[in-house]
Amino acid sequence: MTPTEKLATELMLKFGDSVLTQQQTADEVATFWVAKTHILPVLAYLKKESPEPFPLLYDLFALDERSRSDHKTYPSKDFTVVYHLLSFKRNQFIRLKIALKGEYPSAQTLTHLWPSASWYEREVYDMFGIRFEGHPHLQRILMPLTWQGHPLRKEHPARATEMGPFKLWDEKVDTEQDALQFKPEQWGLQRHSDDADFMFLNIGPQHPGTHGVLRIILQLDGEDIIDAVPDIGFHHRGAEKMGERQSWHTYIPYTDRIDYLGGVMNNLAYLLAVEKLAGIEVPDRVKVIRVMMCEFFRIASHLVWYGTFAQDLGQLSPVFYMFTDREKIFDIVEAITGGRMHPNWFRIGGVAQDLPNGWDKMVAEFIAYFPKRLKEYHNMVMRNSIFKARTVGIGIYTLEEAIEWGVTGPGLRACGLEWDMRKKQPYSGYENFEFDIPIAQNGDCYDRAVVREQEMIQSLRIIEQCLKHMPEGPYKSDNSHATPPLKKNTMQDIETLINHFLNVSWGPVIPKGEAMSCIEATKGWNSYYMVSDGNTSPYRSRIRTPSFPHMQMLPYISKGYTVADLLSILGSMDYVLADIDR
Amino acid sequence: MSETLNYWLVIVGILFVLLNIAAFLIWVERRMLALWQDRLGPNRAGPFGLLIILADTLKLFFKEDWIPPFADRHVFVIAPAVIVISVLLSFAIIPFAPAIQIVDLNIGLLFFLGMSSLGVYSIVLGGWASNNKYSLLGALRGASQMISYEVFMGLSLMGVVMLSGSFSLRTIVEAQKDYWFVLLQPVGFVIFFIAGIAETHRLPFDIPEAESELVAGFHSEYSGMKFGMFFIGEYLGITLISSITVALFFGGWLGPAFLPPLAWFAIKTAGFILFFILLRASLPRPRYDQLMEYGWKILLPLTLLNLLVTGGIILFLNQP
Amino acid sequence: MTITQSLFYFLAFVAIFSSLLVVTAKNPIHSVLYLILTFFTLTGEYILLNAQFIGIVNIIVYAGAIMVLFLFVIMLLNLNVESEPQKTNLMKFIGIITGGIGLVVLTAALKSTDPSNTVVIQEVDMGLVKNLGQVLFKEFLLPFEIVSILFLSAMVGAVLLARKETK
Repeated sequence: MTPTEKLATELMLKFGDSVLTQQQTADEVATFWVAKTHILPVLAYLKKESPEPFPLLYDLFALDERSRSDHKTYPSKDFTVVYHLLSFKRNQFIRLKIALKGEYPSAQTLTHLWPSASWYEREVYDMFGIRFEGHPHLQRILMPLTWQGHPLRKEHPARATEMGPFKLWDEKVDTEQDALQFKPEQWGLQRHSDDADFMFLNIGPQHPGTHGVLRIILQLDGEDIIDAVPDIGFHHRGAEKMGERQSWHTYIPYTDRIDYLGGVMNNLAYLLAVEKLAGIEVPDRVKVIRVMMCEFFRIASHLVWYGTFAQDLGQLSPVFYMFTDREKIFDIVEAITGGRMHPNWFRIGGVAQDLPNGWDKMVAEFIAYFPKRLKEYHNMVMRNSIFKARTVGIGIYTLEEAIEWGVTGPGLRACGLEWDMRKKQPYSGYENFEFDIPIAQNGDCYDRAVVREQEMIQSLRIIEQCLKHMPEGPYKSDNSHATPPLKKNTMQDIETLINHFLNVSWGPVIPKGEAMSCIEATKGWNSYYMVSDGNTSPYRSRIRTPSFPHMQMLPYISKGYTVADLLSILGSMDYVLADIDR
Repeated sequence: MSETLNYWLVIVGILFVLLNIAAFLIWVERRMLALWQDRLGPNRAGPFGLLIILADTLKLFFKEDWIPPFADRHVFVIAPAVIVISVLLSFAIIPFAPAIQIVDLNIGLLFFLGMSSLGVYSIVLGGWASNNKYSLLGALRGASQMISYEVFMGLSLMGVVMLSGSFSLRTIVEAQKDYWFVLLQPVGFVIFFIAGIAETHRLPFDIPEAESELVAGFHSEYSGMKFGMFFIGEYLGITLISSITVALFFGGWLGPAFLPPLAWFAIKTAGFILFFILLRASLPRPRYDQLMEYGWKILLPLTLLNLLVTGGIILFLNQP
Repeated sequence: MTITQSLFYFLAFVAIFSSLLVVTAKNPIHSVLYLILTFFTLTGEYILLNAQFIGIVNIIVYAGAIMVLFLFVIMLLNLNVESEPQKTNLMKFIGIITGGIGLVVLTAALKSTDPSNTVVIQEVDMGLVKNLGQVLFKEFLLPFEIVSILFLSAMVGAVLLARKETK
């Protein structure tokens, strides 16, 4: 019995088939339609009562199903809300869906089961206008409070030209200005306690410590943080909406810019989902090239984090050394891909080009050079007693809390859980590599730093194995969906010519279905959930980014610390705003 | 009459040199930081980028001298002047060389402590008058930091006073003919220097400014030459602490005869200034409460112990 | 009038004027600033008496430390007209009584002094550190130590009070 069948039997026994209907998906994640009224008991059972529970709410999002060309699929619905859960014991995802009918439907909130559902539900409300009954603070999260309409609904324009010219009337100025006025009650904050007036401090949107346009409203008593409310969305570019009007191929450069420090690693997350949908099996050489590039970007991203973290704590020099080393990585990336931060280099079914001559020499040089530097940084930063005083015991969360809030990646491993998606659910051939999973036990800022530092060493090990065992072979799959299509498959008859012509001009048509990828990205687990209704562009592209839940947890872990500690916590969290806001 | 003229010349000369040093340090600090951080630093204007000093100063002068409408105008204007005045006044008692000293007060050291304690006002008033939350937080941090470290600063110097039997800096320097006081008072030196860094609020003790936390702390709202005054005050403060350290612990102008006394003094002071910059390049910033804890729980007992031991030994040696 | 005399009158005028401003200034921060100015003029007076040590200690302790703490507290309290508590009549009454008693004591003390028999006139260098130290630690050792114990107990009391607040 496969794990999916086992899970299906367990759930059917408990709830019966009037509640649950199983669905087959391209990615083979156990998927069930749940009757809207029963979703809470099912989720509660999965989280708490099941012998092998699903404690992590991995993702929560919605789809607008109204204009889907394969609309007639079971069950009938206007909107779908999708829940992704993960079980560590089973090492398995489960996908639950509820069908909603009506123009502006509503569903029940999940916030009392999982605190991390709060932001996800707010996002769904913001993007689709679906209300969640009982949500404590249902307010727009990514779009401005004054925004008209809900962007991910299909009737909402995707291009500015569809919206008519922008006019700023005096009344509009007034309402916008009024919306900018800070009212603590609006954010669920008290103005004063019994014996003290609180001070409200805006950290950001423009602040040297936030690494981007992030606003954190601090409620302070002296310098002690009573509460903190992150205000996100300043970096929102509508990447998910853009996916719906880009072809499968031309969407790749947009993914580069989600976690802009992760470079091609974003391409990988997206392509894994697309390749699952299209049923493409990529050649070995492609897998290893992809792994090598991803690990380079993991090191580059961790270097940025390392340097800026030290700088947030007032150590001015490390960031310069680390950016110098990052330049060396970019030199290699540039030689291979031609780009630097956003190479846009992976393709559906392969990579853009083969590796250039002499790539191995550059990589070998870097492998010889980098460990010494890491040792030096370790002495300079990690062993510095002031650095330790600022990070040890600060921003602690336990493993249970981490799972409860949806923390993934290094933040999770710093709590002592040895869980790396590259090992547990290997993709792109990671099962063939030898590397350790660094973990730490205390879950404080220092331990998160330790984990990331060690990860760089492990990434270097992986790169070294790529260098030594780079397989020969093609850099692109033979599959007909591989983009851009191979020239050798054309010019044989009219059929191949037309196929080639359409694949180049429209882009590939990916078969109907839905698939999710999950990779161990630089900052945590990154997923693309792609839905195809058999068109040249995705029907829905959902991007699950690690920074989003991490930022949601900020108030919880920063209460009771001081303003200075907040910077340690932010620094150790390693987020980028583009990754939060998409 | 010529003596009076000479006296005035010394004053004007010292003032001129000091202000130039403060400006020069802009370049020194940026080039040295660049050197230690694997960068080039300003190297475009003039030889070795030296004209950056001119460019920077001109920029400061020509920037809009903005007083925020929500600020307390008068206090806002006074605040940056306070630090420059108090630091410049302190230089009056520094013996740069046997013949170059503005005034040899018999309470010289106390005068220095008094003036440095006035420097706090600059931060507190500047932060308060800006009427900005970041500035206010910086001002509060600055006030408590500087008041605390003044205590250890004063006490750490008492060992030197006991050894030389005077508050006059000239007498103290002359008392180091045989050996520098740093040998007799290593603990006093270290504590004084730490307190000195805290007084000048330089990294690692730049908690009132704390760029990544408080943007620019107490001088967030300042621009133009008013900001420039804080800037100059900071560099003058570094120079002051360095020269006082040299005078108290490193024999001031004393040194082998092949160089003039003034040169010895300058060399030693420059060494400490560079050390200040090196500190900035290498250390992270402790948290505000850690700084206070470090001061009151470690430095204060150490200083008192140092005082006790020094006094005891002096009494023992002077027994008939 | 000698230079010393004219300086004295100037400083005295500034001292009285600024202490009046301390009372009348609307903004508490400005009050504190005028008080600091008053301390400076007093230091000037000390120096005119050749009591340099007292003068500079006055700056270090009062202007440099205590007044900063005053500022600190005022800034923390964020005083303004609305939040200022109304003084009750009882408070005003107590204020007048204590002020009056202070005045009486002061006049009595001033009356009993003999202006021609001041310490300074007897011994010009009295105010220098060395002499002051000799007097303090030889002649007045016991009172000096008692005063320090008094301060210590005040400190312990303050710490105790602060502790109760939190727990």
